[in-house]
Amino acid sequence: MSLVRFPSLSSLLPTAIGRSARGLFQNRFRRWLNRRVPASRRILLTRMNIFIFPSRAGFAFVGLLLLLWLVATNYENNLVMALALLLTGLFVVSILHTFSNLSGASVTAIRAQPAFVGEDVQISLLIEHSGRREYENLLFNYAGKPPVILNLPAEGSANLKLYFKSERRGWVNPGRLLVQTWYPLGLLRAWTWLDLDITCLVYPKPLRAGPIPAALGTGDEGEVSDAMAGGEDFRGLRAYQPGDSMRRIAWKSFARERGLYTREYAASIDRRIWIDWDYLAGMDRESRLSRLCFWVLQSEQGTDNYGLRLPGIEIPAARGAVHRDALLKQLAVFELEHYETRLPDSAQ
Amino acid sequence: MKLVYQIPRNSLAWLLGAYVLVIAPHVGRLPIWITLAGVVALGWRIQVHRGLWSFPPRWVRYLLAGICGAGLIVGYGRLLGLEPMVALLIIGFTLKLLEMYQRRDAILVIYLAYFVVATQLIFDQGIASTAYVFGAAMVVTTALMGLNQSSGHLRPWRSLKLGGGLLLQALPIMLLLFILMPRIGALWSVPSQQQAGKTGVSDTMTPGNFSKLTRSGELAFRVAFDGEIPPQESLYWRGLVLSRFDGRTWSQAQPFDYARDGTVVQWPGSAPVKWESLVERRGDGVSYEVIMEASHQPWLYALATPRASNRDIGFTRDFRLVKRLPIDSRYKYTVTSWLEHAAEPQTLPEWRYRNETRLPGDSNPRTRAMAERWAAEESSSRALVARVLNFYNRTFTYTLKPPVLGRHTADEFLFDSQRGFCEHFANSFVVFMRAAGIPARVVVGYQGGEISPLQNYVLVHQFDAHAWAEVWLEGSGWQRVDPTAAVAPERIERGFQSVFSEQSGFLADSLFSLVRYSNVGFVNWFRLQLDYMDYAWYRYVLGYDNQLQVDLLTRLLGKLDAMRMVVFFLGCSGVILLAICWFSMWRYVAKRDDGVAASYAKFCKRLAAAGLERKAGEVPAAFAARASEQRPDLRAAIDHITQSFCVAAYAGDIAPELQQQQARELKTAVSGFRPGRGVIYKR
Repeated sequence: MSLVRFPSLSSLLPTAIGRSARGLFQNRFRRWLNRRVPASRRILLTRMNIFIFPSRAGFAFVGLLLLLWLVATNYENNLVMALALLLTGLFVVSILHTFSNLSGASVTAIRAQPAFVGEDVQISLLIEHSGRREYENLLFNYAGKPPVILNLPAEGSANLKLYFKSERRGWVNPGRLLVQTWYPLGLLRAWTWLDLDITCLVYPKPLRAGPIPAALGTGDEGEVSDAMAGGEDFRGLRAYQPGDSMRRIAWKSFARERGLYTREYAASIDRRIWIDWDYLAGMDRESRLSRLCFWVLQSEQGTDNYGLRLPGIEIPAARGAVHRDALLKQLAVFELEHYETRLPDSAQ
Repeated sequence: MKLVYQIPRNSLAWLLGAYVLVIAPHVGRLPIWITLAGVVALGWRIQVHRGLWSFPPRWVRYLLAGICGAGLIVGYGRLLGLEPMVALLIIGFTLKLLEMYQRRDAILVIYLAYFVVATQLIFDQGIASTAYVFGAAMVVTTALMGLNQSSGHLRPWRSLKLGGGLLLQALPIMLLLFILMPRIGALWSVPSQQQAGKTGVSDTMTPGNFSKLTRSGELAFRVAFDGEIPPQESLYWRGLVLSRFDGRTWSQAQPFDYARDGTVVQWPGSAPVKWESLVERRGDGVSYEVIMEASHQPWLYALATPRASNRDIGFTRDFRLVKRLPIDSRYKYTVTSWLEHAAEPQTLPEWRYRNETRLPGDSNPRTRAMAERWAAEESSSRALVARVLNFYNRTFTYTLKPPVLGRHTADEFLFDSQRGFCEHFANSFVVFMRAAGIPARVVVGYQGGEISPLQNYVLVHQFDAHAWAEVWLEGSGWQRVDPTAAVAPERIERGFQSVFSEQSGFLADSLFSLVRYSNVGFVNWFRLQLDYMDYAWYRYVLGYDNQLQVDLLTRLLGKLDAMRMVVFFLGCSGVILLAICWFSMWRYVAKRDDGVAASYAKFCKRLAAAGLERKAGEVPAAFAARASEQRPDLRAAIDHITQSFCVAAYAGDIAPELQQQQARELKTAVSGFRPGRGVIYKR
């Protein structure tokens, strides 16, 4: 996937040549960047990984300086010259300050919250520094997302939640995190692209499917469920409630003056739900996974235990968030190696 | 609805403040309607910010721009001039306020503010004005900074502090660049200030117009002599030579008066002129530097007979100096004058003689009659001059308030009023001489000056303006004759100020001028101090040019070559940048080791020496437990040290004083910790 939108000269070339040239350039650039700023869970921003260059406003400022210099020279006015040189000094000083507004801070990836394809994946970061300086107006973002602005107090740390959108399932790398700043004067932009060595689990996109075909299981494995009218096995007594059938009143215990009870019977019914790959025969893999995903989510909303059957995989029925996440994970990583190779470029 | 960009409130406040500061010094020069437009735009922008009004619609903005453009053209009549250009800039700046939606617009306004505030320095280069401009630049920088802070920022004074800090850090870089930046001179000629009134001596003289100058205490120029200052009575600063007389007004000779001598100005580098040899310079010259205030006139003042080396200064046929362009801002030039000289000592050719004795036929009949009579009675020109001066000395009065004269100025002055100022004397004397057949002409300029005790320089004020005469005498050429000196010698010997400071016309227009109070001791001292500051400011800051640059760098580096310059530049900038890094960044890097970790490391080392090595990854508490088990004799000390260390290093929730106290305790405990080689109980 495209890590960064990197403006390049090649974007001016005719489309066909331009695209390949840009691709080549971006590949080389990415490889160089991987060597320069290697992936790590915690990255300290130093001069080794910070880039700095005048911004557009900075170039305009240089234009202003030249204009002032021209006025000073033509009017042979030393004071206008002094002002022009003072602003030159300001530009130079602002290089140091913009750089140091990134330098010294560290970025740590804490965890990634799993999400579904097409949704935003949330990544928690810890930004900290131990110096007695304040950091102002740092911008963090993954490609395609609006930046999150951060001010760090002296010796402070902050937790940030960043998002990126994933268009594919499985273990997904969010790409490089862009950290940038224009502080203090906007004349220069200092930035870095960080690979925080974090992969996020992305579940298939849930697609609405019909009801899950019911599969009544065999008695042994079944679970005793609620009372049913047609049950045969005596299960126990419970306090009489008005409306209970007269035939079910435990007259014997009533006769013993123990109170009025109703006899309860239960049928042993297998209420487990099987979310089965085979129900969706005829569809391709991704469509099946999306519908299975929907069923998993739906089943968790219900009251019955549910299990998952995939080719070669069977997860026994259970309930709860942990169980649901385990199932979703199976769906996310199912036949990932085929998926990876099959994925067209356009989806990246 | 689209999300509207909001200029951060902090930045907008500073931006509007900067706008006011930047426009304020220009207000006096601008037509009133521009100021009003500025106030309206400012008010409108504030209302927009408060959410009460909205931005003016597009057609209103176009209409405003059209009206302002038309106003400029009507008001100034032209656009190519310094004032109309600055006014145009200010209008653009003002209208842009009403169109400031985007961050980009705000940046443009801020850059315009830098530029507009810089133009103030073209109009006024005083110390106060410079300080003001740099202060305003600080506010503009603060606005730029606010624009790059997050929008919820509500600490405006902090922004000012940071913005000011940035400028302060830029200051040493500015100084270094200012010293080293080559000054290449104007690339093309630029429109200059045109509204300013011409000050000082004018190029015509009518009796009565000099006394106006005495009402002004303004400075005309300063002169710093290389050696001794010549005596006061020889400080005749020649400015103009007036040879043409229409019966009432004296004016300069026209170039065609000298047509037979060819060009009238000898510019440096141009072909030599033949009249150059007419002046003989004798002996050693006197060298001095003149710093002239803006006069908006091209002529320069110098002692006779001058020579200057500046490429902009020419030498005229009547032996004066003149600059190519009017002096619109302070101007410094270096002159050498030969006080001993002879100008046109050879016999004057017929056409020259005619020019220098010409009088309009019908003017001053009484003077003519008397001059002809006296010329016949006297044997030589010198005797005639002496007789006329003697005549002045006996019955004439030198006064600031001469009576108004009618048509025949010389007649009325010589025979009726006999009260006059320098120009009355010069006028009547030259008319008299010409009538007697002696070539004569009027010279105007300044006489004398005030010697500043602080530095070896002379201050010449407007009230030192003077008019005197030059007569041509057979064998010696043009000779200076000052008829005023015959009447009031103290005027020439002690200066104008000492004669007239009690008279009511003196400095009438300068009520608050400190010169007026120069008889009060401390006021005078203070005035001269101020003037010295101003002088030094001009000489070393405004007048810092190639010459001074070479001098300074030669003094600093010993010798000027590329290698030394590069080393000097890199060395200085390196030191400056390191200092900035230190003061603004490295100073704030957390001190990793405050002694606590070092103390604990020492403790571990001592235990290791005693055979108890701390394992990698072993937390202090676990290590302490293990060590205490093996060396029960040290248990108390180990526990104490470990506890102090944990509190000093890790406890984040206690008062810092307590933590520091623990750190001190740790230090003393560790330094007294001597485990020795005891028995180690193996588990």
